[in-house]
Amino acid sequence: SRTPPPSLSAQVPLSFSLSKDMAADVHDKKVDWELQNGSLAPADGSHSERSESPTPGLIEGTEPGAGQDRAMFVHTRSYEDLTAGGEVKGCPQQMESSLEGQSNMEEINKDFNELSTQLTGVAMDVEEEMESGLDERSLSRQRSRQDSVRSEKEEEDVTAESWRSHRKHVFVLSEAGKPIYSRYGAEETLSSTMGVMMALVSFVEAEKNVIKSIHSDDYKVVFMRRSPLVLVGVARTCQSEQDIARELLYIYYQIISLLTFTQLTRIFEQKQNYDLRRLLAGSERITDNLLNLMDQDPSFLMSAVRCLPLATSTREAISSSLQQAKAKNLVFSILLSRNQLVTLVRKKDQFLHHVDLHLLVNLISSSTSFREGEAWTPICLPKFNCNGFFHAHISYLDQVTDLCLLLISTDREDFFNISNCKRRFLERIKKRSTYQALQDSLQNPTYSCTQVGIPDLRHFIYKSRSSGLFTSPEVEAPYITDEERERLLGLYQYLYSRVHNSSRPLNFIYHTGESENLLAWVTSGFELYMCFSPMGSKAGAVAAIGKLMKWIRKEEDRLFILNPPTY
Amino acid sequence: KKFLFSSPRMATGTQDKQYNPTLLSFFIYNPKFGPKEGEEEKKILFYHPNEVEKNEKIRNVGLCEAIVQFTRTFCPTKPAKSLHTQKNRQFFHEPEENFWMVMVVRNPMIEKSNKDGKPLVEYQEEEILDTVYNAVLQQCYSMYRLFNGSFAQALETGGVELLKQRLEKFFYRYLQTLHLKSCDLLDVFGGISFFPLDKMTYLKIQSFVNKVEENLDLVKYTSLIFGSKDVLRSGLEQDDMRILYKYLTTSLFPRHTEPELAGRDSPMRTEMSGNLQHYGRFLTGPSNPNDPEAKCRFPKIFVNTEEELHLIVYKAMSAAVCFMVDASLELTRDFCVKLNKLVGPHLTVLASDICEQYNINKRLSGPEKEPQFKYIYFNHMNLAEKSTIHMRKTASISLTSVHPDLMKILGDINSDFSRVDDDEEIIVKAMSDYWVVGKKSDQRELYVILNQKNANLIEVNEEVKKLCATQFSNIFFLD
Amino acid sequence: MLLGDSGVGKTCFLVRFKDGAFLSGTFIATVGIDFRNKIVAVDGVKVKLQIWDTAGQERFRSVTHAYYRDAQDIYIYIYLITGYAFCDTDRAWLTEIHEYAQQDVVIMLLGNKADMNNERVIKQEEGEKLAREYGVPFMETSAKTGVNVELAFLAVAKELKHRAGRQPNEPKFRIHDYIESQKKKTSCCGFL
Repeated sequence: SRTPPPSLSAQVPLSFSLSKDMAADVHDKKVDWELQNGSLAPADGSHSERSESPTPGLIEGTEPGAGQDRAMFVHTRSYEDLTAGGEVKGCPQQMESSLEGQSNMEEINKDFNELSTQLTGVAMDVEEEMESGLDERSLSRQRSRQDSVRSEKEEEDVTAESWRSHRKHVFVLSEAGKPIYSRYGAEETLSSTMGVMMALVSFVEAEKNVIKSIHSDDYKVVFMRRSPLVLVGVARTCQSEQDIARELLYIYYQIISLLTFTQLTRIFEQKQNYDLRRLLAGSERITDNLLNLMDQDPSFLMSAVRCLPLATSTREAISSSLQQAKAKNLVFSILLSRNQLVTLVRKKDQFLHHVDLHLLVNLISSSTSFREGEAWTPICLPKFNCNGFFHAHISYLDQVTDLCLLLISTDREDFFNISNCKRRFLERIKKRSTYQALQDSLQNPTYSCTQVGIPDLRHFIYKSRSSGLFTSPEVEAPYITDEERERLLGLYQYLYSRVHNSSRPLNFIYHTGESENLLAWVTSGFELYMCFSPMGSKAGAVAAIGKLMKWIRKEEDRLFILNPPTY
Repeated sequence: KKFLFSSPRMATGTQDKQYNPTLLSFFIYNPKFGPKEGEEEKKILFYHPNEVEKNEKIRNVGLCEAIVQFTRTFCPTKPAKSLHTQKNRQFFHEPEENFWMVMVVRNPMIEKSNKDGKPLVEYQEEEILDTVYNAVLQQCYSMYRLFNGSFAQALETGGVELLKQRLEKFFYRYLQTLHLKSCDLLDVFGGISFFPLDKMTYLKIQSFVNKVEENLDLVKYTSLIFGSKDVLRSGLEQDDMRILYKYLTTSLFPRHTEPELAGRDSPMRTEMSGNLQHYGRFLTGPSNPNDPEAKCRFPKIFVNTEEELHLIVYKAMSAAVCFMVDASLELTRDFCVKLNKLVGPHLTVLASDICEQYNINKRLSGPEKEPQFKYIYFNHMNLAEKSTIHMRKTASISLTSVHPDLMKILGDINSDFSRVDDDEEIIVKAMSDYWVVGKKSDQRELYVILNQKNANLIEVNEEVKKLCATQFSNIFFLD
Repeated sequence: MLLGDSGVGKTCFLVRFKDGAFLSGTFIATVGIDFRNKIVAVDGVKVKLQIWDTAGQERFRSVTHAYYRDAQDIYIYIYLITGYAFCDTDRAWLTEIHEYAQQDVVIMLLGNKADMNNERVIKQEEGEKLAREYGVPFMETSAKTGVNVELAFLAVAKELKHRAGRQPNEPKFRIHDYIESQKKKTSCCGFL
């Protein structure tokens, strides 16, 4: 079955529009390089020289997992986002996609010019919607929303102890103090709480100051102002303030990905007390899912993408098939299975940011409806360009292994073209028996830590900094229950927050505890986090580092994508 | 805004000006004292700086109340302890029910001049450690209470007016002695340094105390301190001793060091008062008890929650003794003369005995050379503390031999330890390549900073093991 | 959003509306704002009102400004009939709301403490005159006896409901007319 364009996929019932002045907007923007030297090491001179390490360090770009040609992602650490002042003018990060410079900008601008002209004519205008009050569509949307998705939240008593004791609350509100989203409990019942939040924000602002966080003995409240939105997280986890802020930022980008920054800003410019839930109706599930995913998946913590372990020959065959199934307006072709990256083919000189890919991963994993047929949905990739929509063709190639193909196009009218790409890709891989090889690999989509051959090693995360990719074995005993898994992620969050502490970063940490021994080591080339059984010794751990690094080097073809393909 | 990775001191260029954290304001309020609209001012019991306009005071107190109330939404029993903002941090403490103490500390900042010469201020939001300043705030209360008793006590005795008077009188001076930039991990511990006693010295001290308490039956408690920092005998409950110790070592003793040094350098110097051959003198009370005009007034302190006492601090050479006498008794000049006559010679002898012992100990521990490590040790059970990192610590000066960033890393490790009760060990390598080790075992904490930048994890481990074996042989640390 | 000088009884007004139940979740004295929810039934439809109570004190002006600039749908300005004659502050408030708030907001003028008729300083006609000047609906209320309190919020709820779901051929709801028609009845009963 096909979902014919231009109607939107049922799960993302968004109205969307691009302003007429967007094209001009894009033209005016200068490229704001977030990263000059391509290194994630602190830019400050005093820290750029890394220490001699317990084992010889590897220079960035030569560490296991580093791409041989060029990086696949724009790999940035989002500190700039976290520390940017309250006022966000224009797009927070502009077009950081090209590392080549001005010449490519013209091309991108052209693409978006076309896109915006196509969209302006047809799209429903928010202004109209607001003038005519609640129109038929949004009313029925609200009703259906209340009927199904929200029932659980609506019923939760926000004064009960059970509500209070949730491990992590997230609230989104407008600058007028109106509720937009709450992870637990219905927003209406929380309007007073959110009102107080806004009152605190404005009260501190009236003193020309900015509220950052509140700390108590067993929880933190973190405030993030991203005009026109305010995001608040209340966490009982051991996460650092920065870590919680990073998650809030993901939620912000999630909302941007549905609306674009331009539209979000315009709505509130026109009517400050607009109830944004009208536009976001139906998307709560996506946001809920993103929060749940961040509680389990280390990708978000690592600011990196996890690859599906796959034989090089198979991966290359798939990549080349995707490469050949190209179309004029196709920017990215992404193949995913169970939130892991099989391959990513991109237009030459266009780079995907890991945040954007994480949002795409979340989008497809938060809805079952994409599983049926082909979906065609507008999506903004905020790190690529927060002012415009791409159009994503989403189709599951296999239900059991969650093999999902994402084709990202700039052209709204491109559905049949892109659908054709998918068909061509499928034909090609099926003909060359690549498909069977992939299916076989997907039977074992992860690997066990025991393969490394280090008895006391329970789990690890290895991130290649230059490629923005990481690898990690399956989580095994004793981290079997959900609670235990979240605890393991909590341990990594702890290690991460210490080594990446904004004012006192560390090179290395070894933590001996009663339940496990932990190690983290950060060099300019890679980051390594290891979890050992509590019986392990320090000498054993030092030996394990060497052994693990050798193993990763040996397996890097399988664990990483070393030759990022382009069309 | 650029993110700052480095520490302030490292980043300072030629034109950059570095500002330390400073006390912006300090206030005490009770929300029950002015619950009605228009009566908000009544809530405020103390506000520093007092010059602040009334409405601003009310607003700032209001924000604190609102923050506390707001956080009760998420946990009614554990309200906010600190508020972080771009420019400052606010610390909240409720020492007695409904009495809130708030300390507002401005974040350290760097003033840079940008291209057009305009000054550009950058606040360093992550430089201040919550644990340290929460402890400083709690200390403020303990110190107030040592000299004034509880808030409730003042309220009972003389109502709000008396309480306000006492707060004003005490904090006006005390806050001037708060030097926030020199606060560190030792403030979190609030420990006491004990003198390592051999059996002989112990007996001498015991016999000294017995003799004095026998002859001066007014004396209720006796504490002894050597070398203006090492406690020989506590005499008080732990928590009372901890705060009295803090007062003596950071405030009273530093004010009286000069003559003492002279005394040690020239043992033949003439007696200050009278003709007895001893070096004893009062640090509190009369400077010369033999002067008929001398006033025999001693500061009063509160211990064991309600017990009010006279605090007599008497010193001979390097030994100081605190006598505590029930405050309801009047201390006469005769008493002071008697005390001086009796304690002076005995304490002088005791001081030189201990000094000898001290020198023997020093010789035994070998010739002094720069060790490869520095450490801080703290025992939660007896509050025993030892630091080779601090050369000197008074209220205004914290002279440490290590970089302030390393001290903050110690603070970070300490707050990691406080999350769980389990025994733990954390070894980190800082960006400056120093190794820092923290160990926690059975209520004891040990922090070591190693100078061997090129050592590896195993060598570091060996080094710390050696240290534990020589200095803390009786303590088991998780390996 | 309730506005008005300190001591005109904004909070009492709200408490009255909340069926006399006094909520002590007070942020009003601390950060100058408080929040109450109330559900009103209008023609069989439930309308949720979120009511923002603001502190009248001068020291909160800068904060409350931040809120009502463009941010709210309905503003209720309350003055005291037993207070001083209309003064510059009252006009300043009304002018400010007019200036900053959006075009389509509803502003309502209320004279409180109608129960204290013998201490009255400001005549009902004066209130009406001021209301006409600014083109806003007006009534006198009593937070103590409850006269017209319910009506004020009911009118607000009706207005909101009509805005949200107006059918194309449905006549426009006129809050002025509605209040005029309803309040007479109430005041007849209330004062006789």
